[in-house]
Amino acid sequence: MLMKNKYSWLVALLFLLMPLTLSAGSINKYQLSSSIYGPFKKHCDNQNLQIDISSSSLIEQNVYFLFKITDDNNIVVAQSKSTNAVISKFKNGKVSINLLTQAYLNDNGMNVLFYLIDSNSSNNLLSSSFQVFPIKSNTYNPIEYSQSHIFEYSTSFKFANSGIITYQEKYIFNDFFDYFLIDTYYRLLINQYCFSYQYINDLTYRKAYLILPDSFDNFCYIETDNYGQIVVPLSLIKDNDKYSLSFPSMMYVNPNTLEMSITKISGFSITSYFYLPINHLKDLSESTFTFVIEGLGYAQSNFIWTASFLAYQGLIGPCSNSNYCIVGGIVL
Amino acid sequence: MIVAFLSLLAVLLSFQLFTITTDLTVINRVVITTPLALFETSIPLVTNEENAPLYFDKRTLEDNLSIYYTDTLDKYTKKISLDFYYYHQEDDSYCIDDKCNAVEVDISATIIFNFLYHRVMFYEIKENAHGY
Repeated sequence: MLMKNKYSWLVALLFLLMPLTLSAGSINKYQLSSSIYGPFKKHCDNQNLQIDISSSSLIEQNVYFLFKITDDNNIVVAQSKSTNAVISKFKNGKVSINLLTQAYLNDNGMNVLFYLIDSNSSNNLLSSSFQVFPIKSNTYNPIEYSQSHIFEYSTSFKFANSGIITYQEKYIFNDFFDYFLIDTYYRLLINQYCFSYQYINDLTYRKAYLILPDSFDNFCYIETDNYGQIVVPLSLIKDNDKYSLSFPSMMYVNPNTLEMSITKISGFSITSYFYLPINHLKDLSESTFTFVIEGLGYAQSNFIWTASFLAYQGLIGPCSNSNYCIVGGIVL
Repeated sequence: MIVAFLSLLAVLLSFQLFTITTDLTVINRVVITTPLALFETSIPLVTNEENAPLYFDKRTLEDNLSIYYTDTLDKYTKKISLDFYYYHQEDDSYCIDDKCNAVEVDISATIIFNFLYHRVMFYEIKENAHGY
């Protein structure tokens, strides 16, 4: 009994100090999470964001989010407040807040400061900022980005950890030269033009095509477009993380003259290769081929580049300048 | 009279010999200078394989040569026959499959009576290694 009385004061003291220990003993950490939002069009309808919040605190807190939109001079021009949520270590909260895109998402992007605020004490629990831009179509010449990259503006974001992650479309190019250098004048190979793409989804595109030189009439079986250009449709093929151009898997070729057609013609053979017309190495040499990819990615950007044609030798012909030649003689 | 007859015979024989010799020369020249384009156009270019070695399309090659020799030698020979022997360049063994890159063409032409012109030519597809 004496022993029990001896320690009872210590137990009572512990009970008295426990709330203080719980509330001030450790720094609370707040975790945010959300789905990916964006990309948005310029001045699109206000976007309602759902943000999940969790806390490491054992004590429940009533919190809300505050978005402040600032202009280029960092002056707050508008703000948006979320719904309230009660959070603790054992209770995750979810708030809903409007991103004021309709009024403020313009070509220059939108600067957003965001705060997580304790609604009882008005203390600022967490703050950060991000910038989001509307999708905007641009036209690029990939030759200028050979062995380099194109980074579009950040157009999407998500809340993660204690902040925000923004996403931008990235195009990373291998060698993009302004000439076709092929050993043998035989087939047109275009898979040398490849690039990788990084964003929240796989790359999409609206249309890709090759404009052939019209300096001679050996592409006469290939239809012209509305502008009179000889156009071969192309497709973008994904191989691992690389995208490369490819001809249609089914084309037609005259087996004797190697004249190509995209549409079926009697007497032509089916092929997946684009053959170069026989005996026109000199005609095609240094002629210009134009590649176009339209509506790339979410930004609907365009790639346009031209390449000169350079070939070293023919496939069959004189032994001095051909890959193969016929030799013959008398059998004695 | 006999002398005149023998002289006429000698002239006729000489003329005939001259004709035969001329025909032989022409035939020989035609055979030896057979255009290589006939062989080049016998090579199928449309294939679905990447870097496939070239070969002669037997039917096209035989048709090409048959038409060419018939057309060019028609005036100089009564009958012409062609035999083809396809072989492997590596060891000259007989090529039994469809994709042969070497051929021997045996050309026989009847000039007059049983007088035959005969020549065997070979043609091969050589791959060049220019090191480009």
